[in-house]
Amino acid sequence: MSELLEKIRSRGYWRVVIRPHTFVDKLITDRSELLHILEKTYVEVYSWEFPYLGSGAPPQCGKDWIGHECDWGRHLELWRFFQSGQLVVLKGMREDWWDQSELWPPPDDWKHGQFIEMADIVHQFTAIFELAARLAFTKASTGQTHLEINVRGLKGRGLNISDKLMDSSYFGPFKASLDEFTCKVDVSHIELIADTKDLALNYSVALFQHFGWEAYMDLLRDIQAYPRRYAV
Amino acid sequence: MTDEEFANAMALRHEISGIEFKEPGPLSNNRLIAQVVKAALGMSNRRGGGKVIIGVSDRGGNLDPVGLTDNDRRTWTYDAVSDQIARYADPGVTFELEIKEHYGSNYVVLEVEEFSDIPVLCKRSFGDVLRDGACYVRPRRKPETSEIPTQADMRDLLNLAIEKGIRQFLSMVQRAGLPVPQTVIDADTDPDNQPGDSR
Repeated sequence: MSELLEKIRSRGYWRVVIRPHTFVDKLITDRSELLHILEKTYVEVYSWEFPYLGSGAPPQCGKDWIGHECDWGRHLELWRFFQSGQLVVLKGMREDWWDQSELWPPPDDWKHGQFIEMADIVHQFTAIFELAARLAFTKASTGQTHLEINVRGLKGRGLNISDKLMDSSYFGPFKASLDEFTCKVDVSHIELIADTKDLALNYSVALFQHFGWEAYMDLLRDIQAYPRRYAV
Repeated sequence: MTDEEFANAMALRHEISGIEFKEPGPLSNNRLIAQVVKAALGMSNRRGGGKVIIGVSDRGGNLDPVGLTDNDRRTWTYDAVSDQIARYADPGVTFELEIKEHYGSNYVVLEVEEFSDIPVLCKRSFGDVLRDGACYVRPRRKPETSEIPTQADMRDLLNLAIEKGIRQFLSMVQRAGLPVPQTVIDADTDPDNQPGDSR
């Protein structure tokens, strides 16, 4: 187990698996194609690549996979992309690694595990489904995609809703009672491609319910459509 | 662009695919605005769009964040920049403009959106900066704006446009009520039923 994997698991984190529904060992016949596929499909969240491909550094390579590890500021991420088309990403909650940010230090009363940003959840689910939709256009697909999303380290964590939304939606505080959220979905490529944003919102809502917050779809659609307006 | 994103971008001291820096100056500097337009055209043809940050000098390859004077900053209004970009972009470019303060200096940030239907072309020349009919892109392997340098970059751009067309078509199919295979959902939040971590 890598040190970074242990480090990511020591605080709240996201675990994402995107893979073709049907397992084919060498669906992508040439390992060198893996990086090209991700270079064409990665998504940006707050100007940060998902998955993070690195600044031109060559990826780690295994027998049938490539991968990358990143531990920079609030960005902790580890991923592997296999020739079977399976992508596994572990990503530390950026809310939990503020103490690592030299450029953007946390407030004095900050502690990890205290909160998760509502808008970040929408952006993260949107990025995951968008990445899955983009992968559906590539060789890493077989017509149907299997997605697993785990968010761990939630128990007792508050849902932080930006001041920008206070007037319209905040009646908190909302805290998670369970430690883990899991969703698994098998989705056809037609639906994944046609309905990417709504699928992402449906799962965002499922996670918000974990905090006891009934989200307004109109508000979430607004956050998706105007991410800069709600960026935190 | 959040303040944290901006601080990270300034700390890089080099350009990346989604961020291009431009030197400080007033909007009346025609050569500068042509360079900004070129960067905006390239970002609009990039998946996910990108950002153009004005107020960073390039001293022999070393980026120096000097910022804009108050007089220069006041010239960079949304309407004025929009007019300038509209003179050169076909179809139009969607962007937002904001002023960022960083260590006491001001910068203009243009957040340019990816094209909506078809790639954006340049419809007017300006000196040796912009060429009428050119299609500017941000090649993945080189953080600069240039005319499409390789057939691979051309294919990427065409694929992006095709992908958009397919997505729009499938969305219309769904809205029209035509049958689409349904998703099988298993959202389980009970910790007793959680699968182990397979990694």
